[in-house]
Amino acid sequence: MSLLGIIETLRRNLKGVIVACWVLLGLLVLADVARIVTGFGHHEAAAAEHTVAPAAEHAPHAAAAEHTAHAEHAAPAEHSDSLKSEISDLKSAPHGAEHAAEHEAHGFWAKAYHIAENVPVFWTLFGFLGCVVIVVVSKSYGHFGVSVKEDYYGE
Amino acid sequence: MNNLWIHPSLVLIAGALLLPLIPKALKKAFLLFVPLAAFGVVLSMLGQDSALHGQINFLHWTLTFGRVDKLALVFAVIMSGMACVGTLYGLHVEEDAQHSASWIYVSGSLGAIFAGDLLVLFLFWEVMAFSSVFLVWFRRTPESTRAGFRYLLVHVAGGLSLLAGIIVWLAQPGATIEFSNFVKLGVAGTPAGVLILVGIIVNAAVPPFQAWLPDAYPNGTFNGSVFLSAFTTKTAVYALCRGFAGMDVLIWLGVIMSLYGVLYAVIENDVRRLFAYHIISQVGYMVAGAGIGTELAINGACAHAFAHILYKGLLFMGGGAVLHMTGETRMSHLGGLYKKMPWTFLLTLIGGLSISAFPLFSGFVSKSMITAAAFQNPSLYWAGFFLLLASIGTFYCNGLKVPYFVWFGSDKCSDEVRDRAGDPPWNMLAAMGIAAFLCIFLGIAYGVLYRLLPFGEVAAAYHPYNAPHISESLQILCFTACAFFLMVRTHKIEPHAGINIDNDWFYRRAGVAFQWLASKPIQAIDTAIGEVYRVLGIIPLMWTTKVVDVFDRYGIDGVVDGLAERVRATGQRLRLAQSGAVQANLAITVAVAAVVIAALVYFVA
Repeated sequence: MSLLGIIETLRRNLKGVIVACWVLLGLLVLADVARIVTGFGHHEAAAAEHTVAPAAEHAPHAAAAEHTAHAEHAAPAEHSDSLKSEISDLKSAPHGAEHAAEHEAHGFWAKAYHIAENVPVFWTLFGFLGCVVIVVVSKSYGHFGVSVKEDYYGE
Repeated sequence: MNNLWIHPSLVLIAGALLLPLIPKALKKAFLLFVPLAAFGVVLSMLGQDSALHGQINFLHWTLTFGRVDKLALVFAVIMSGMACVGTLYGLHVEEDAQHSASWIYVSGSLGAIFAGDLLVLFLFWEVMAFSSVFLVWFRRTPESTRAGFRYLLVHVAGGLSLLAGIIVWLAQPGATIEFSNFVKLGVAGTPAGVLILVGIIVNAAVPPFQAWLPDAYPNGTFNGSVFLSAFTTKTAVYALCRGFAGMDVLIWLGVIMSLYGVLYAVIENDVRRLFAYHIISQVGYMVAGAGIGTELAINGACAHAFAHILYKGLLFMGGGAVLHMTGETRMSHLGGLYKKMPWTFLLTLIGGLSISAFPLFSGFVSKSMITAAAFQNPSLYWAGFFLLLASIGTFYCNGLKVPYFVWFGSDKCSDEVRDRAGDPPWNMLAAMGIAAFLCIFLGIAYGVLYRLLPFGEVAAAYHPYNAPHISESLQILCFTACAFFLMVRTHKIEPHAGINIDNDWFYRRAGVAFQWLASKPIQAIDTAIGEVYRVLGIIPLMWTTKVVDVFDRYGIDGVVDGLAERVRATGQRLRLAQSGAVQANLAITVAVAAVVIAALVYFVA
């Protein structure tokens, strides 16, 4: 079937496609709620627990020590070291290096970076309401005198 | 110095100069060969240790044309690669000058990226500005001519700020010419640092210096805009990562950029201008990443620049295909094109999903690094949330609005547009196919990209595909889509014909005022003075010269050897070479500059 044929088929069965999308959205939300309720990837107050350590000193050691499995993927250390001294006054990441390690340690069920990630349907509302807010604010901004006719500049 | 090291810019400049001499039968092969050769030269540097090449002594400084390290290479790889894709996309364009301008533009970017010192950086910075403007002018519409001049005006101003900053900096005791981190040197907040920063953020299109981008890029040629979308802003991102990593104000500016671009894109009617506003938005992520300054954030800025060059190039190729095939890019005059341009739709949609950071697409594995870097620091949570808010607008515009109102929705095409519409030539589809493949490839095999990043250990430890991140992204994107389709039913978000005033209004209006001033009062004064001068000075002078001329021609020159007459005749012929157009003079100047740079790099270095 050609690409055009596939698109036409989907259009002919639009109601079915919409129902399927809603089912998938429902499953997505349910799966996320299940992830949170069962405690997978539960956020901890990591910021308070971890000491503030300069990433330039800490990260490579943490990464190198805890992720030897990935050592073959890592670039030679001298590259990073020379770049560190050359380009950057790299700031400390309060729990960055260790948190990156936690992501590695927990693999797919990594801990959330932010507490909001473990509030059920938080991102659902964030996406839906965020879209509405962006459109309303932009349209209002346009009506404020920003949107004008195509020949506004007389060109 | 390693004599075997070849600067990739040299390959492109040589190719640009030789192109007009290549026979037509070999032209297409040559067009593919030159950027591939430059790409090959860059790839040959991968795996080598950091090194300095092409160093020459100039006054009491050592200029470095080739500082090769991981930060430079990650940008060089994607830029030289994009030169190949962009050239393939415009392969059927027969005007040599368009290809030459594109290649010199890319050589400017690569030259700036490999520059080890501030003077070489400035040199290639200007090569970029003066070559890229031709990609706008070659559109050859009155609006593109005007937009090109405005583009040049802004970039010359930015370049002068950069130069002024370099001069002020070098005048300070203990200053070195090396291009290194000004934050670390403690000069980022000094007048020199601020001037250099302004020069760079003008090219990065950071507000309030952003209006040149959506003004110029949509006015470029269908293939020129593909190049424009990839190089100037990302070279500036490189310069920020190199020179201003860790500067707090960049976080604010980056977040403002990301939202500012979305704000305008949502109400934009022209497809390519909408994409241009999303360059501002996406570069905002990179600027914020440079400002956060941690290893993960710098990696994120580089990875996102890498991914962005591909997917934004793909989007501009999609927009360019619509322009090339229909002559129309306003959504209020398009719709229902999926029947005529199904492959263009699919490939552009892949670009839209990539920029939206959909799982399995390249944006997902790059953008998340920057937001993760923000969420690592509780004091930057606000930045992380605002960047995620901007990502909603990104998906709304690129993944939903453009695909829906160009390829679906109600058919608002004129008969001419409908008749002309169709998938573009094979080379354009092939270029889009390559970019689309790479967008998906990088989204799945992200390790390939991560291995190129400056901080390899941190990149290897970062895994984008984890449950919280996937869940967060899918919820945000899917429910953005829900909101979009609900709003579509209300007809409140239908695109309408019109433009949106950006802050280029100020210099556009200032230009009109200056033109009025020059053409009315100043011209009147000049005309009056000129008339007095003509009556009292020119007319008597002309009579005198005629007498002297007759005496010289028939009296002196005729007796000697007729040399003066021959010189005069030669001068008459040479006069024809001067068209009087600023663009032509600029082209000659840029060509001469390119030859001088090539000679300098080749013979001196």
